Amino acid sequence: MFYRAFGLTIQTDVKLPLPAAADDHTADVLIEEGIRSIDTPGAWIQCGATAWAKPRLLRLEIPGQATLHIEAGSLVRYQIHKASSDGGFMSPPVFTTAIGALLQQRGIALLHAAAVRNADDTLLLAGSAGSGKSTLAAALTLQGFSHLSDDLAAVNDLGQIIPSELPCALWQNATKSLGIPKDELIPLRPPIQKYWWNPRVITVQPTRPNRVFILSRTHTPSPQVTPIVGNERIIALYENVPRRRILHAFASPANTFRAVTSIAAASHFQRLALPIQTNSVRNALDLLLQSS
Amino acid sequence: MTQCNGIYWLASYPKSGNTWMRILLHNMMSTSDAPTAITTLGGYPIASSRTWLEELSGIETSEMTDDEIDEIRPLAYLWAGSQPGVTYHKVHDAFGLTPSGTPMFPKTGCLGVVYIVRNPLDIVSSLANHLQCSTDDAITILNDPSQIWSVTTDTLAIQCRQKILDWSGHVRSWEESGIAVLIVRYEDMLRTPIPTLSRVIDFLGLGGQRERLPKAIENSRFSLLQQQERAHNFPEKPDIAINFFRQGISGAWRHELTNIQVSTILDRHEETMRKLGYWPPDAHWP
Repeated sequence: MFYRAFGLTIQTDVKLPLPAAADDHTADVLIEEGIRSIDTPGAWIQCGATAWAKPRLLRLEIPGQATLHIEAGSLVRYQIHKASSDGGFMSPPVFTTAIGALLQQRGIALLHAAAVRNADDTLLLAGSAGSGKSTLAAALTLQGFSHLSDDLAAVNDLGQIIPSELPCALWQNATKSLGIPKDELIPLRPPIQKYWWNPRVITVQPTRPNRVFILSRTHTPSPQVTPIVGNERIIALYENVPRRRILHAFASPANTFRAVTSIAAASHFQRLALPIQTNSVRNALDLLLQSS
Repeated sequence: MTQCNGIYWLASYPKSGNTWMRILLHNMMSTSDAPTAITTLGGYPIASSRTWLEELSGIETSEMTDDEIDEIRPLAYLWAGSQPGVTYHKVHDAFGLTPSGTPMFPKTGCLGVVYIVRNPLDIVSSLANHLQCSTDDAITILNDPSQIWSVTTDTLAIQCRQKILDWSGHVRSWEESGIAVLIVRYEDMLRTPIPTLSRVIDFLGLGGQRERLPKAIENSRFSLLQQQERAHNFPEKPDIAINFFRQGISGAWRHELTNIQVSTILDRHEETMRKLGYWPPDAHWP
């Protein structure tokens, strides 16, 4: 089977939590089931709570789910644990973790961010889990923006966002607040009430963001926007790099830093604090559309 | 010889003075004579922080079940405790086991637990303000042995699931954790701050900075915290609460609770209250 994600063609016999792609591609990445003894030099060095590294190799032990060996940015070996309840599927969190680490091994910078584009206006919405980036990005696509990425944004060394080619993953409360019909939603991993949703328009060309919003939450009744200037832009964006504490152990942090500084140098940065209210997306949306 | 790495947990049932303790410690360790800004307490994340868990583990957790995340947490704390330096983290979880039977908070890498305890009669009104619920509902929560926080299925919770238990169960869980625990009464922090907090800083290995304690206490005055909260939002305030720093006093339950409400709490928690010196409940507290 072939799948597409972040500009890569993935070939695998493992069932991935993605729509399959046509099989007329040359594979960039192979995902194989089964961990075999790997003849790579050096001892494993623990670099995180559940992560070990050797040169060009990262091992992640996801308790109760799977062991992953992510090798040289092109190979994922995957051993499902007996206790896993995903019925032979590589579960979405395991896939997201694997593809994210693999991209980082390939020298692609990764950000916790969503991205959308409207003509020459490309927005990068970065923020930690629960900050509202996916919901806001989906709301913008409903307003005519095209979808680039959701939750994880991959950035090449030119500072361009590589389209994820994946649907949006939205929580049920977001689908309700956005008014997305149930028949457009595909359950992502029951009993978690999160769904795949295909945006109407997607972008396939890598694009540089011209506006970056660092999302947070606020207790105030309306969205708060404050500019970010100077080196603060780099710091604010770098704080949204996944696995940044362990990156040095299995990938080149320099690539990530280069991508972050490239975006910081060429984009307008603002902090956008969203109110914790049902109408916060609507208010934020108005604000983003007015300022575009 | 002083250990140079590990975690101290600052554990408490919610609304028991944990944040005040953290502010005191921040002021203790500050190199400035000015009060620590309450907006800058984020350096040591709460144990249940999803972001911290992901940073420590390298795993994306947003599509994981609470049971799956629970299995990562002990590994994350074990790893955090093995890293250079001593860190101090707030925790509201009761001590307990993961679904597979692993202690959630491993002994290895843990230097000790400061357990801050507060009279449950006073917790109730503070909890009601925190959750914007009625006093009766807050009592139901305080008395619920299966109380769990941060559980959502239709949206992403910023924090991981926390099993809180009832007030007595929470206290007991940490007392019986097998980890070195220093129990500190909130009321003693108010009444006799210098000797009470001296015990805390000695336990935390900060005795060498004792001369900073009076200034730290001065810089952590409740009125000052309220003033700061009025000027700048406190990031840890729950979305629905009006304020985080409400009164900071003890004994207010006498005019805040009805006799029936008091009885409902005492009936359930008498044994633990006796053990901790909160008995008889009408004894004078400053």
